[in-house]
Amino acid sequence: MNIRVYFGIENLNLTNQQRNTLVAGLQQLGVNNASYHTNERNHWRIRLDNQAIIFEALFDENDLTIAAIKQRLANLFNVDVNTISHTTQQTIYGLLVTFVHGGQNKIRMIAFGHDGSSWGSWAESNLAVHVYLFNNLLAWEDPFVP
Amino acid sequence: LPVLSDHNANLAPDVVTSLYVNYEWRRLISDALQSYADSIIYNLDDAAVDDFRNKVQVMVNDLYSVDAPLAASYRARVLATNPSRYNPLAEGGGTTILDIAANNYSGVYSGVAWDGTLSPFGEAVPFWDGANDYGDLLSSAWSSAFSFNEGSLLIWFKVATGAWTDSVARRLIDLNRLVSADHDITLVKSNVSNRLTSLRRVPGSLRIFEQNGLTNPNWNSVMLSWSATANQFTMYLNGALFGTHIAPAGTSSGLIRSYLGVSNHTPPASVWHGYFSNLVFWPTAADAAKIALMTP
Repeated sequence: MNIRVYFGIENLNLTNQQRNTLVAGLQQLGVNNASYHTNERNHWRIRLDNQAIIFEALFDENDLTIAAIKQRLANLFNVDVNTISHTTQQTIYGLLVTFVHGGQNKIRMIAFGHDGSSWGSWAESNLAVHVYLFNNLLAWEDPFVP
Repeated sequence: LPVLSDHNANLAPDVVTSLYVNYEWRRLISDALQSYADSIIYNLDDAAVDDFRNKVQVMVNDLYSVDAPLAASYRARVLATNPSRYNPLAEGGGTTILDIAANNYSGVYSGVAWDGTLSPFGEAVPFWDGANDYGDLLSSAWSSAFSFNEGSLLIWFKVATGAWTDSVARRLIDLNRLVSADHDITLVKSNVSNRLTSLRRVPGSLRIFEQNGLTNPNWNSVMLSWSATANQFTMYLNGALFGTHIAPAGTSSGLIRSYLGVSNHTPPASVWHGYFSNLVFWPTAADAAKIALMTP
């Protein structure tokens, strides 16, 4: 199923090269990236420290599953996918998933507007992003100081 | 397109014709022809041919509807003031921000949606989601032409529900010659509730307007005007003069950033939450003819 939602990735312990490779792959996701409707194309916002990113697009839901992200990490580390584990936590923004390899947290993924069992609407996902950005204002916003 | 007998004779036919063929008409005709071609190629379906005929009829009706002439007449009024750049922001989709003034300073949309909201002139307008959308107005030609010494700009805007009090600074327009605070012309919905802030800065001179108490959830028009020659930086809101500052000269031209609805797209921040319509720049300061464009 195709869904237009937001999701975020935060680098916890990837090297810069691994981070860039992961992000480059995620930037290719989306089922309608040449759409006349530019909101359906994959577009993103990068945190000011370059260690987190929020994507929005019309995605194939199957590309955003925990298993799919694990496979990306396994490919990134060139390891068996079964060596990647995860933990989940339901937050006010949506489902937060932490991916672990070699006893070390590698990345966090926030599925904005995801209630733990399914994605919400675009409006719910958008609202969750707004709340998240507001609660993390200094990390994401260019302060307006004339 | 031929002028029909019931056509509004007050409109300049060349403006109506060229604008609508260049914009929505090109897309609508293209879509209809594509549908027709598909029906011929695939199945010679009579129903598809009927559908094609109906679409053409709707298009013709739309062309002569009340809304289209309203937008076209406004465009004619704007073009009559010789803008250096005029982006009606009514493309309806795609990534190109079209410029219909003579210089063709086009730009690029990223991520904006067209949700059916209409401008004061009856055309669909782009929506910024407040998270990751932007418009990039920069080109080398635009950079060279833009002057921090003489000019003016007009933009229509409508905030999303709750945006006046969301405590996040959100850019309308951001023009910079350097990344550092060197030369700026900026319009921003302040992180202070119900405030619109505008500034012009050249080295040694920062001039700011802060308009408080804004709550209008509908369309507003704002104009900034700067003239080192006249030594004035002025701001107008919905046609009324808000204030005037002195405006010392700076470096004349050169932009490295020129954004609509964001402060910087790598990474984007201060993302606008709401709608824009009819962005206009002139190489000269505001005058009565330009200010008259702040009402539909």
